[in-house]
Amino acid sequence: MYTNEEIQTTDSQQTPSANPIKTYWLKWHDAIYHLSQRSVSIPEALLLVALLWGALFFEYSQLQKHLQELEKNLSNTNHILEETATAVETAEVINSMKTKDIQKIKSVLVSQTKTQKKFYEENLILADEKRQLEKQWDILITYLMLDAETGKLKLMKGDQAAKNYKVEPVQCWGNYILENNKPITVTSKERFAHPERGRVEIQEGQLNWIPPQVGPASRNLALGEHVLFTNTSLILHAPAKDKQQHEAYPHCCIPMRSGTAKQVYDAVYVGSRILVPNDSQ
Amino acid sequence: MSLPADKKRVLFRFYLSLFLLGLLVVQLFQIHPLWTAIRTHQQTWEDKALQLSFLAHKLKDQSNFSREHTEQMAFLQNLPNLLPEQAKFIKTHNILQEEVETLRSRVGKRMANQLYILVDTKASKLYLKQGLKLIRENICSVGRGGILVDKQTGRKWEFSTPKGLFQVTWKTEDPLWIKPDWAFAETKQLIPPPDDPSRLVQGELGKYLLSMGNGYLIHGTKNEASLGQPVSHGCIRLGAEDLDFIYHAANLKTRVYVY
Repeated sequence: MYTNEEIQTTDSQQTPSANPIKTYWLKWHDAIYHLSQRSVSIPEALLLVALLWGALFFEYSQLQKHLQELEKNLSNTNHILEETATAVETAEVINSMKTKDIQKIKSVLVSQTKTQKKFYEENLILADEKRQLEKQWDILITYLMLDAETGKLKLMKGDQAAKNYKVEPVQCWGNYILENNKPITVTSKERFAHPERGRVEIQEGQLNWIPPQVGPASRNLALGEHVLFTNTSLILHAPAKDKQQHEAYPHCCIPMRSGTAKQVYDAVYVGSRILVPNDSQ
Repeated sequence: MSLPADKKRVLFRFYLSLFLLGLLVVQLFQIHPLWTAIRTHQQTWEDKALQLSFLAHKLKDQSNFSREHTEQMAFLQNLPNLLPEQAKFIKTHNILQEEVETLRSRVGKRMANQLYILVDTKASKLYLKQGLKLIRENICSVGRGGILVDKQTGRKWEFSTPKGLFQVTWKTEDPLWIKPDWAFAETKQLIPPPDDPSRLVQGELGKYLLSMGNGYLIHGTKNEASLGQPVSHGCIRLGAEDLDFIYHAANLKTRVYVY
């Protein structure tokens, strides 16, 4: 400890031109000295330091433990992350495969449906053509054949008799006779027909159809309701409502009942032939 | 100059304290990296947790996709059970084919290479064919059927197109329609005498006319919207363009099959 004399001496010796470092060094020591006058003993200080050091050490060890735990958790998390990533990748692959399978099934179904649609449409076309050909064939092979011996009018389909109708022998009126040499063909089918027929005329250089104008009289008294006209004098018709009118009209006919006439009318086509034996009159 | 003893003691205490303080500071410096490491690890752990959450969502989505795919697959695999069996279609097709071939052979022999007209009264269609080959298909109108009764005279007319085999007997252009009695009876008009001018109507039958004999005609119509429906009084009506084609293609004696 410096005495005041020493300090003063020191101070007096300290002139601005003296060593400044040394001055500060001494002042520093003085300050320490003053501080040291405070009553803290070494054991107390050591104890304080030990406590502080202990606290810091404890904190250090706790922090280390915490860090270790964190590292462990991080490692687990990494592991789980890897597993999840693998699972996601697997799921994506499986789903991609399933999508391809579905696309494949869809394209097979589309192809199958298109094929079925094609067959269905072709079947419709074939069915339509079949109907057309069947009807055409039916028209071509249908004809009537009069069997005078049995008194039957046969509806023929080719060489087979499809139906038989009971009729009477051919009758002719108004001095008409049935032409033997001419093939008989049905030329017209009419209900409520009058014997007067329409005709074609040339008027002013033009062909015109003149319909039958028969006035106010009822038309179907002479020939009944269902009438088949032919290219000869032969007419197939139902029983006349007025016998006189019927007999006054020159023609040949095959007498039949009203029901039979309707059936023959419905079954026979325009253009169908009628085979009548020569000796049927 | 040498220091006094108590000063030495003080200095010793000071430097000892400094030393101990130094130890504390060193300890602090050791703790600091730990804190940094902990912070880093925590940040990393949070990032990983975020990644995990993202992957978990993705996995859930994939799981949903998978379920949807499974359902879709089950539905699609069940679809063929709902569709008609292909085998039945093929069988029907083969049977029809066979029957049609037989018919084609029969009819084809009769028709050879003839040109003819087919009229389907049920379908309201008119076909122009040569042999078995279809040249043209048209929509037409045929007789509407039904019976008209003239109450004044009791006369009756039936308006159906007869079925059978006809021939084109004559053709004409710009035909004149000479109205028959039923055309007046239908509209409850007085039926005029045969030569009355009111019977003569121009333009009613279209541009062309083909006669099949006995008053059965193929002609045009003013009302083409009605084609395809049975609306005529027995004749066969065609649209203007189709009629033009048929008129020029068909000759006299061309056969007309009506069924």
